[in-house]
Amino acid sequence: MPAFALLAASLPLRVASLNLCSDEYLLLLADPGRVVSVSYLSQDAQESPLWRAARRYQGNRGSIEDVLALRPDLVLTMGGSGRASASLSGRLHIRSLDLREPASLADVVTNLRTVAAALGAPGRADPWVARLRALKASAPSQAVDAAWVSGGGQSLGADSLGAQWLRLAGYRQRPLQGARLTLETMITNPPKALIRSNYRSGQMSSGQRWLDNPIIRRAPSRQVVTDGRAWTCMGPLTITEIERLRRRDR
Amino acid sequence: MTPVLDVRGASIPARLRSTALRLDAGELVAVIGPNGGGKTSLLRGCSGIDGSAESITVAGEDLRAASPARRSHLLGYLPASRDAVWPISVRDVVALGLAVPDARRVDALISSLELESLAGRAVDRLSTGERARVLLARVLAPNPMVLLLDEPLSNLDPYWVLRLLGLLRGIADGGVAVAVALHDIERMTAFDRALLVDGGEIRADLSPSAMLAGREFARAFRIERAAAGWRLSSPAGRRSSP
Amino acid sequence: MKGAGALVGLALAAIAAAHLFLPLGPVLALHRSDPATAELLLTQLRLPSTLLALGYGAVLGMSGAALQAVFANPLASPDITGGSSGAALGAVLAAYWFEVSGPIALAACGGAGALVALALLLTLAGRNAAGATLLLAGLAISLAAGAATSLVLALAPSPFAFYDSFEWLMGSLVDRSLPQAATALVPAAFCCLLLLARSRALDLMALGEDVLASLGYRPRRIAIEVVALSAIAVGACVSVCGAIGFVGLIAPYAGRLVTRGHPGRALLPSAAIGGALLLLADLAVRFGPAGRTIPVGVLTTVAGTPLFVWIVVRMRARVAA
Repeated sequence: MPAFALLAASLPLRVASLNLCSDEYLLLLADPGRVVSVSYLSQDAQESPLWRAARRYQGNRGSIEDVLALRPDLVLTMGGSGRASASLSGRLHIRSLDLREPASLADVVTNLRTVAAALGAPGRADPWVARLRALKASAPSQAVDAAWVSGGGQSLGADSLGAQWLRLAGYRQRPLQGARLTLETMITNPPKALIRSNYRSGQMSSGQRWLDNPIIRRAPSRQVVTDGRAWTCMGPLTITEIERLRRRDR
Repeated sequence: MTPVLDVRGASIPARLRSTALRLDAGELVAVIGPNGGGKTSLLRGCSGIDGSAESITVAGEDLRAASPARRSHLLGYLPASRDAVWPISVRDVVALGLAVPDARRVDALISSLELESLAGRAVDRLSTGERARVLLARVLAPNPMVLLLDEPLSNLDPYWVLRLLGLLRGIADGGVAVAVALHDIERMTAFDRALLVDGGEIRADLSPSAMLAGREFARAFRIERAAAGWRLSSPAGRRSSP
Repeated sequence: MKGAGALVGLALAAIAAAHLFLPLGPVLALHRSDPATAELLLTQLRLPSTLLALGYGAVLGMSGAALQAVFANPLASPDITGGSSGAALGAVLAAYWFEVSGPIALAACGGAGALVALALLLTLAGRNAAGATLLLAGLAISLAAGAATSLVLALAPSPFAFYDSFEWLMGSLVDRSLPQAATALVPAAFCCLLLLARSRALDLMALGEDVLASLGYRPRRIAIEVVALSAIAVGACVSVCGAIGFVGLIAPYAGRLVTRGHPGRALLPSAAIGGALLLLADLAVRFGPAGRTIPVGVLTTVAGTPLFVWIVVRMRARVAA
């Protein structure tokens, strides 16, 4: 890693990202001049709050092939597609950096620092890490019994990364069987707060129809709407979202 | 004498030219003609099933203005098709002919058509000849004043052909006007009157014996009476059509 | 007959009650601590599902019986004629592509889809088609509409749509609301009443269209009315619950056993049997393996296919006889 950083510092680096979640780090930390491609998902307003910035670049479909013509020096990936791309990149003499899917807030910090270092600008990560620390420091001591919910009743595991984010906003994700909120629970024992993801809420799906059920609409829970896009990856963009939730609750 | 059935201007496009028909009470009429000539169309047109008609009255009553229940008392139509799709019992099929249930009437019909042994069986499992009798019983059930029957004698055993002819004669004697489309011209002699239908119109309306000797008959069927039976008409023997 | 009818009604009520109250444990437990909420649980969560199972099943039974009477074919049913698949396609196109959101409009689109499918069937096979021709044409339309539905869902704006295809093609009664139940069942009830009014004509249709016409009915108009009413009723239900198969085939068959073969009289018994079947199927699904949802249509198909084969075999036997 240090040698890498040395190399990066001395040369103008062309960087591509092949995955929605690694796109986030790239778009937030890199100079626009260094980015050559992000995944097409980031360019979709329904998928990423950074879509405007993402559209300045060429979109790729998540494979090395799509970005070869752009001659990147570094390719960012995360999770599943990582391994294949990594071996391929090696053969093509392209540096590849596969980020680990974060399972905790600490993992998010690690990813931030790793990407910043790979870009040759480690200081870029500092503002984000500071904001996260500030959130942790000022998290309410009492957390409200809550459930995060998206289409079809899908919720979060009580120990998951999403639950940790929620805790920073003062909500404690209730443990639910199968991480799923049922209409029956909404009647018999509704959570004090319901954090509804508005991901693709304007588009028809049976999951959305579930959220329109009168039982949900009329539930006594305090209903808070959250930008669902941040919750797909639960990366640094979630910091912005949690700050917004906290301002709203004040 | 006012006719029981008075049809004026019945026509079916491409099948029946505008036709008038009058049947008197007690008449047993044979409707004959070559295949595709319009026998069925005549009966259908006169029943009001197909095509259009200026007027169809039964005993002075407008047939097509009558309710279904009333209509079944005025005119009964029996199609040539013997299809039965549903496993309905013979007894129930006969009862379908009655708007108001009448078990005694059904029993009477079952016995007169010798359907006792078949009464409980599903009609779709009977032979064609047996089905023919069941469907006839159905059309007879409401005692209609006019009967228009399309080939009721086909597929029947000789015993039943004769029995049915006797039955129909009895019904006609009771005041009903009966018209029967016949395929077997030999049977014509059992009737009072014969209509020859060809090319979508009634070509001749005569007594059966006159019909057999007539030239319209020979022209339509292209056969003529020989010493014992029939022979083909010679081309010279046929009057050429204009 | 009256006594038998009362018995059937009682049995149906018992099955519906079972569907509403089972599993009993949570309801009783809640009732002890909070009766008001227990009532809410029953009326807001369970009742719509029970009403839909009863009503949708009844619609399938009755429209199946009516379609079979009109097509003079024991294989005609909303699903085999392509009606249900057409309804699903209509509803899916409207909701996922044209962003039709009003439930009534969606129900109308479901009805329109069913109508188009049935009209296509009449054009392809003709009304008096032999059993096999009707079956083949109906299955072809059904398959085509099902594939088109999956395609529309795959290409829909929302990436979740594709995973909804199971629900649309195999049905679901889970987590439906009372307003949704009303959207499906009010038009369906209306259509069923109109169908019942034609029972006598459908009985007489067993004697053939010519006899029916000779009695002053209009066979073609009756056929069109039956097709339209069935399409609207089934379409409204499909727009809420998806397509559920085979109930419309089994229930009329059993209904005609009750009425000793009469196709028109079988409308009401078929409705009752259809309702009972769907309630039982949904109950079975509810007690299936925990955490796994088996779409209710899968169960009805698995149970109904043997009967379907049996009917086909018997039809062959009759033709050969």
